[in-house]
Amino acid sequence: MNRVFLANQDPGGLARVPYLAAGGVPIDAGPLRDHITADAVVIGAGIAGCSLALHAAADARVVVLEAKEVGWGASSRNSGHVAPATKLEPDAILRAYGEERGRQVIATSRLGPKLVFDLAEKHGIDVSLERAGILTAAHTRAALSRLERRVATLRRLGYQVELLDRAATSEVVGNDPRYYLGSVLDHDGGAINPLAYVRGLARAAIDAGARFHQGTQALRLTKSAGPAAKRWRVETEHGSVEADFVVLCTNGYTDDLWPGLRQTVVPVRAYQFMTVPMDERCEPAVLPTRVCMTDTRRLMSGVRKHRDSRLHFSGIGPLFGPEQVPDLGLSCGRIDRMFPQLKGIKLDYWWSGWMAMNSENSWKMHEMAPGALAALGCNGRGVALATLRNACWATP
Amino acid sequence: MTDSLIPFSPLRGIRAYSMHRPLVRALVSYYRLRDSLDDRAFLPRPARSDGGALPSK
Repeated sequence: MNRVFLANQDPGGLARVPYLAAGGVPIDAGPLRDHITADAVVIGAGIAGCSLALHAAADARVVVLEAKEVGWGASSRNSGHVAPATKLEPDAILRAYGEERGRQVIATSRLGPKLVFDLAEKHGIDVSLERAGILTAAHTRAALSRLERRVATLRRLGYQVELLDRAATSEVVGNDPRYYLGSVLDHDGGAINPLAYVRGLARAAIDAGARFHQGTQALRLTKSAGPAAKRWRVETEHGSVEADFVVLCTNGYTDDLWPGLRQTVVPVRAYQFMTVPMDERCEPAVLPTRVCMTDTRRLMSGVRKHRDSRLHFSGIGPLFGPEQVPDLGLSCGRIDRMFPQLKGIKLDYWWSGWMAMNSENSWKMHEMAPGALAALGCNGRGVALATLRNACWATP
Repeated sequence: MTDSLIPFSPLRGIRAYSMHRPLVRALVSYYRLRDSLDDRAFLPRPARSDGGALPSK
């Protein structure tokens, strides 16, 4: 496979992503044209790479190399949901990691949204924050039982999450009470404009001393020669960086820079849709608190309402290859059934990006060699967990 | 910098990676079918001609 195979399949760049309108000012950082040294070189300026750069910049000289522009990949193409959880259920985490470490993993992942919101506040990033919580609604009895177990486990561990019955769920969602059997409302979650967020992180990292180069693809990664033989050398078209650490933060856009890394995840194309502003007669009843939500259906089911009364939902389309027109019938049909009063509402935007999936439904950390690190596998939980994970990595 | 709450994983590729596209496509087709069957079983049905909606199970 050509090394830039994935990146070249999104030639439209950010032009079609509606987050642009309130996405802040693009980062002004040109290509690398020098041969420089640093303590750490980060490949990829998405949320993961920018969080790492921000948190490491206080103590280290950090260089971030980005093939396109800051936030160009999934960081600006996701739904903007900020979830206090991994994709794994709490019980599955406790089974996978054991009680003690499992509790730590759950405790840490629950801090993700708070970290995101605190960073936005601390650095003055206008992320169009919505803090109405995040709702997971059950579409079958079996799914409701799973949610009840989730609530029981989280409450046993001391977390306050709310189990809503059918009527309360209907009020929060704003639809027919027969549509969902119940739900879990997690007040720690929320939603943001992820493009504004990632640009804000990058700007804060630059202010803290990190050096960014956009339009700079990492072409070769080798050990340095000569006296600096323990260092890593990243070559680009017009320059190079030598550093003690190299961290690959490319997730679903990972190429063959480190042989075999790309094969640890399956990049799947995820689609997002945004309607025109809803009719003022319909809008107040739909997600009245602007909670962001998903449900227990197997296919993508995220829904949120933006401040300008547009409904934003995830859907499905061709899973691989270049961006193509999504399955509008399936994706919009679900919204039509969920909110019949909106049936036929027009779309203003649809867009897509690569989501890194794996069979473990969880991030995987790799130390490929001393000083060479990577973490991949957002599995649709990238905003909070990528921020958090790389903040942890950067903090001794 | 290399401390991590989650243990590092060996760099092991996904089994049958070369087959991942057909496998994921098959999985998504299965999900699509299951979602559709769930919806058929649980979602409110269209109103009957006598004006009453069938109760959901």
